[in-house]
Amino acid sequence: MHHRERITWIWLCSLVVIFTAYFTVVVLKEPADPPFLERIRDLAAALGTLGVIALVTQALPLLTRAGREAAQPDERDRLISQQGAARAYWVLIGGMILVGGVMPFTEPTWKVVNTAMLAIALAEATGAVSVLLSYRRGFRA
Amino acid sequence: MPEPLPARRLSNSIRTLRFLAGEMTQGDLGARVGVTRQTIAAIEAGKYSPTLEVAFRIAEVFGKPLDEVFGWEAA
Repeated sequence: MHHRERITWIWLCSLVVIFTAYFTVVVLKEPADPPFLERIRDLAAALGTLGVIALVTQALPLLTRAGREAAQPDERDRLISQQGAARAYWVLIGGMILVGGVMPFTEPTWKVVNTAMLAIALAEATGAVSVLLSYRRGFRA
Repeated sequence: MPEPLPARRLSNSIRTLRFLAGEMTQGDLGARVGVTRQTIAAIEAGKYSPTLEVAFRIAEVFGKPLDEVFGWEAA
């Protein structure tokens, strides 16, 4: 399996597990209207864990020569990555129109924040799925 | 209105040319061309159409003209 494909699998699985856990906690706690600091702590835990995973899977391999060579993208990797980013962008834009254009007038603050988080998670997952499909099924510009 | 061109796909004879070049590995070819082994495998399998630059480099490695390495066949 290609180095970038492996990294993308890890990233996609991490996104699914961490955001599923985060949104489960949010939904379960919501009726009790938890205090601000507790909500911030939950959000920081989710984003912090993702940050550590990104650091371990993407930055640490760059410390070794073999890791740097494996992580070096060629033209196909770049095109696949660009296509994934473009697809993720459209999902993110859709989410941000909802979050920034509609929800501020009708919904409470934390619902807006969590919908923004959901849009970011869905956009990242869309990009990762696009990349994985391109590696598996083939890619044509 | 102009007649649309028939559907075609890019074919290649890289596998045969690697064999004729003393079983050159995909990794060796990739290293000489400047792409990864996986990209050579994807090109061979018809899962990726390389840029013209990479296509010319591959042909150059085998010392063949481009149209002996890549074809444009009816789909």
